[in-house]
Amino acid sequence: MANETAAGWSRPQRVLHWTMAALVLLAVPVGLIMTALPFRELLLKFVLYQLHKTLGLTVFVLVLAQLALHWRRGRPAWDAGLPAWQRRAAVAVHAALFSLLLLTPLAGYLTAATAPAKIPTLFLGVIPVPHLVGTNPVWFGVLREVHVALATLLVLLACGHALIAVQHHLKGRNTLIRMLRACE
Amino acid sequence: MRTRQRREWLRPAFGIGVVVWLMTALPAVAASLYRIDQRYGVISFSVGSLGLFTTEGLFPRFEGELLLDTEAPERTHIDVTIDAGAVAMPLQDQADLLRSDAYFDTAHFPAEHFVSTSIQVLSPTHFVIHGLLRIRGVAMPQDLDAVVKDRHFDQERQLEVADFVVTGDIKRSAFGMVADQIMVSDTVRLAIRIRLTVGVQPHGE
Ligand code: HEM
Ligand code: HEM
Repeated sequence: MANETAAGWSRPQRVLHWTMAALVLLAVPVGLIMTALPFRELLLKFVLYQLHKTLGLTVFVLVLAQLALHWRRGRPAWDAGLPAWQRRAAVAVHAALFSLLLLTPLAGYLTAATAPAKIPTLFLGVIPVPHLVGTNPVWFGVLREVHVALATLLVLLACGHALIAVQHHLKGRNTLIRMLRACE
Repeated sequence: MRTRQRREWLRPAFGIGVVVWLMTALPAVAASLYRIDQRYGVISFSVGSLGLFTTEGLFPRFEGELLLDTEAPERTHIDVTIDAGAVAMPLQDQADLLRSDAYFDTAHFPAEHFVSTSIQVLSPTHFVIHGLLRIRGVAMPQDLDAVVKDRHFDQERQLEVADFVVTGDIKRSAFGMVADQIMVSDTVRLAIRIRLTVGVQPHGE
């Protein structure tokens, strides 16, 4: 994806990674709660939908920034002891994660825009985000399934990714450490 | 009534009766009684949320009578019953919420009812319908604004048709619907569109 000359992950790269990860891990339970909440809880439901959409849209923007940094600055060299297949697997998983990090919010946005309920999307609860496509119950049904499928895939992949990162750490590699703090 | 005496007494009474009938019944020639229901139009409503967006709904089932007097509109009379349980919203969950006890409480009050008490003529095509609206068993005075839009001759059906657009702002709290004050505006905008054939005896059953 990019050159491997950088010494470690830059501070912006690290901050973006963890912020983005935290937002994804927050958007999921909020998404599950908001949809499960009965309609009687109208205000809370509305607030949680707006929070979910705000978290998801922020993820989208942060991921664009992360990708831009990745292309401009590159990534640190792979651990010397890492077998080639594991490196290829890591590249594939990271690429899949990046794709899902863009596609999931995109599908979410389209779900919100096509929803028959015509609830506006308010970034941070105040800034209206225009819905570029109109209400469409059929597309809403499809997009909602797509959004949830992508989100599920994203979470599963991110969990696997995190587990492998921890595993590398336990094996004494500095993979995780250099995502946590600066290294020369 | 068989005695001659009584018949003599009946003659002037009959004469007066004819005059009274002519006075009262003649203008009524222009009055037509319609049995209206969902085939004649739609009853929709909208509520605002946080002043940011509106949500619309429909009452797809209603029935009633409209005595329409085109010559003397102030004699027009309306009596409509709306099936509250049939309320339709973009989402089934929203409709279920409206049926619940916090809103229409359709388990106890399956219907809403409006009956006119008087008609105020603002212009030949603009009226205010004063009436009584009953929701959740609470009857409150309610004014509706009625405008005759697009009265024209339908060439195909060889009939004169007119669209009536009736609007009104209902305060839902007045009927005890006080839930979700932040998310659902107190004012509910009612919009009724009815298309009727006018100037001929209606075909209503
Ligand atoms: C990384 C970003 C995102 C993740 C991980 C995510 C995840 C989820 C999850 C887990 C659900 C619950 C599905 C269910 O239980 O039915 C959901 C629902 C939803 N999401 Fe997202 N979402 C993200 C971004 C977005 C964005 C950016 C928007 C809109 C701008 C959005 C709009 C929605 C909507 C409208 C629903 C509810 C669909 C329904 O009514 O069934 N999401 N999302
Ligand atoms: C929703 C959660 C997460 C997502 C979406 C995610 C996504 C990503 C992506 C896309 C990269 C590649 C960055 C780049 O190439 O610029 C990455 C790298 C990394 N992530 Fe995550 N991540 C998540 C959570 C975690 C967690 C929980 C951990 C640790 C426990 C972790 C540890 C790492 C590490 C160590 C790297 C650097 C890998 C390397 O040096 O090749 N991530 N992550």
